[in-house]
Amino acid sequence: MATPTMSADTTEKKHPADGGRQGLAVRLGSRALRNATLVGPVLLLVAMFVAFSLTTDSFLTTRNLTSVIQNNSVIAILGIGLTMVILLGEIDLAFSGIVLVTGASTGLFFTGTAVSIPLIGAFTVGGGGLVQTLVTLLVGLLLGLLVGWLVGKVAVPSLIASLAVLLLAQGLAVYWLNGQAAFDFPDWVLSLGHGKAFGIPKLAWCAAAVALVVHLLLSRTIFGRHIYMAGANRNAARLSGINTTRLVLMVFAISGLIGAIAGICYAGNFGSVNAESGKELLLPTFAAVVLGGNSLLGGSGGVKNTVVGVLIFAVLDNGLLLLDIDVFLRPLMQGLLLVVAVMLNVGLSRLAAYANRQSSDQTVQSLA
Amino acid sequence: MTATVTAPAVMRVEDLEVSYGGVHALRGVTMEVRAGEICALLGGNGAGKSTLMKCLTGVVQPDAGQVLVDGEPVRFSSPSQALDAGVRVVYQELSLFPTLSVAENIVGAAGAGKVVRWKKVAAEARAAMRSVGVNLDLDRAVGQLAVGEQQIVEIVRAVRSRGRVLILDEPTSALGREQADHLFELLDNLAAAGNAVVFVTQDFGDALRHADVIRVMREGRLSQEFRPGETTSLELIHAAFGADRNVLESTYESGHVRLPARNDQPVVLDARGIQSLPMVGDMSLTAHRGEVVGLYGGLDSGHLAFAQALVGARNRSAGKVSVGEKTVGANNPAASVKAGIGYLSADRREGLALSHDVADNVTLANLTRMSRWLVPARKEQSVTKELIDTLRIRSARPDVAVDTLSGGNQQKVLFARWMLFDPEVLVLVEPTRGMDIAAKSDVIRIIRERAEQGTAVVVVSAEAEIVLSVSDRVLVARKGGITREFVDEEVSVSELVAAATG
Repeated sequence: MATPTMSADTTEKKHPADGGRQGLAVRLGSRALRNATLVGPVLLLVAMFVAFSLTTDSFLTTRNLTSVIQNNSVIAILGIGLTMVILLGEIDLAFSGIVLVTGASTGLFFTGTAVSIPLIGAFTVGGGGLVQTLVTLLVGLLLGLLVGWLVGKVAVPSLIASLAVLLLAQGLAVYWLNGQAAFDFPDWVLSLGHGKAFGIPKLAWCAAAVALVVHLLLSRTIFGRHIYMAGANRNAARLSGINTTRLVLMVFAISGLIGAIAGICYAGNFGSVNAESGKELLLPTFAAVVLGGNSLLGGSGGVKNTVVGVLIFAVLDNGLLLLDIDVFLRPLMQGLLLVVAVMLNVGLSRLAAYANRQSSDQTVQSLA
Repeated sequence: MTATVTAPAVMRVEDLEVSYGGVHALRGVTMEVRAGEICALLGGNGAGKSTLMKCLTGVVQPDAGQVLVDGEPVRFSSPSQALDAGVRVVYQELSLFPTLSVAENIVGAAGAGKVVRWKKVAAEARAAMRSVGVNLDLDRAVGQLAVGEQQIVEIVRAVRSRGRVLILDEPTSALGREQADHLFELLDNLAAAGNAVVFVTQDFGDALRHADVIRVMREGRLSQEFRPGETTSLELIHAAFGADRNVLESTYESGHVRLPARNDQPVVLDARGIQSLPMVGDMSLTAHRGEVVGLYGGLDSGHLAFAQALVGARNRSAGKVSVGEKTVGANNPAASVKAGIGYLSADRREGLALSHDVADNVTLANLTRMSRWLVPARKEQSVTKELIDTLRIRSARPDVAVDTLSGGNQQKVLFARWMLFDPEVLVLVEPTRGMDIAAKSDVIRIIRERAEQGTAVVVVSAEAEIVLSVSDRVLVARKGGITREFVDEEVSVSELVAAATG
């Protein structure tokens, strides 16, 4: 079959007026378009940003935007950890418990309060320095590792494994706090939670650093690629010689470590951690990750998606507040907008799949 | 075979034309489906068979031409309208509910009222199976059945809801010979009862043995019509593919192959006393450097399970696998890959991340060998491009998602992965399943080239023609053991089949 005839047919039949549209489809059909799950969320974010800027006086002010960032940095950090797990096709609930227990330990270690682990023994970690921080991070890492071990080695579904560890972490924190709240924190933690550097909240810097590291990890390293591939098809990865058990262990461990970082930030930001802390983060974090267009089935999405998702959630929350919407109406509005956002996401990813198919048809034709 | 030429046409299509985005899938097809007749629709990939089938069932609306049922023009705008007109289809991609039982899948909601009466469901399912002459455990979940058994469930279900036209898409592609023969007996009965049966196939043998009339499609046209007694498989191959000759064709033509003498290169793969119950009792196999060893067996001979146990994808309860001097640990695919064993499973979707692009899939097993930490992005694109050219993968771009490729090209992506890996041993299970002859000979060529570069290749298949065309030496599996070895002799397809069933 000669190429000219084929392409002439194509143009006449389906696109009588515009042959260039297919050229566009081809260009869009490449790698960029398969990340098109990002296009919808970005459009939504921009639309909301513009809408709230126009309808309120106070939205587009440095002060307001700074506080939006300040209030959502912890969710962003947690969302980034969750992103890795979701990309692998697993679910993690444990992070809200990890935030609680590490937030609490940040205070307890500082005040030199003895904490004990049942059956193992009591210990104190005094001071607000490096060792204390490292132990706190280690607590998060170990809890994450426990989830990973249950999922990877024991083959417990991650929803159940992480739920168990969530309860375990909460239980540990309740036991350690002993009915009190932790409110004595090292100065540097409080400064991290409230201070600014170069006019931007330190919390935001912290979130940005976590985002950058994980983004590079996912997009540039072989480890990251293996997460995507194992998320898209675990069996294919396994049969290609990738140690998927170790992959699961490492991803949950990193997620736990990030949870501990979020826990320290949380403690600094709120200045007080009690047995109920951290629970309120679970749903917003999940909502943000999904809103950003990460596939819950694994294999598609990324840190960019999560960052956009967090911003959508944050801007929506803030905008509704500034519009002075009735407090009792706000959750309903939030729910409605989220439904719309999720529908938009689904629609756009279908469009992306369609354009992708078109472009490959085109390629095949031009080869025929 | 009950057909008479004068039987009335139940269904007729006239001058059907369909094109997808400028590619003509059908270019004026006229065909009749007659009561009591079994028609084989033969042709290569992309010949238009599937599209024609979709027109008959209302999945695709033709751009031009018409479909007539009992002489009346009809326009099926959905599959359910075609169902109402008595057109039943069994698709190649099974549409069963894996977590439900056999009985539930066969009877579905149709048999029950508002309350499910389980005894009635079971009785109806049993009756449906008996009418077809099969016997499966009614209570087993369909997802636990072998693919061949699932196909039988699907056919029983289609036959149960009485239609007048039964269309089957590649019904034997996943079946062993015995089960395939059984299926055709069943189709004979259905035709004798006055049904019109159409089966789409790429298997010339099936068409010659079991059809009343063979219609060959090529490039969107119904090129010719043949009667089984008056034609040969060679003639059919030429009708479907033109006159290009190839290795595989000569197997079909002469029906037998001369296997060479034993390879005197060193042994690379030594699998000894492999046990994986209940499928594999005790199987041993060695492969020399540069040798292609064929492992032929029927569907339940255990040859598939053996391949899985060999590469660690399935539990191995006894036996030892070594590559060169190294012993490979059991039940650990990663260790097996590390020892240099590449593996292609029978189900392509098991090996591919379909939503990811060609480059991602090609380099999946290779990244850690190409670089320590970072993804070597540029190198990845260039090697993939090279492999696309070498293997003639018709997608031509490393950044196209694999699920947009045809089955044959997806298979080539998997080949590309292992060519890049350059394994000591390559284990291929059903490497040509669902491909047309042109693609099959492509794959055979690729396998031979691999062997020439020193890889020991094990081809595990239930397709006798493929095993004979590609192998230097052939082992026959039966009931979980190796029963026969062919080397340095002339072997025909029927001898091979006899050795596996006899």
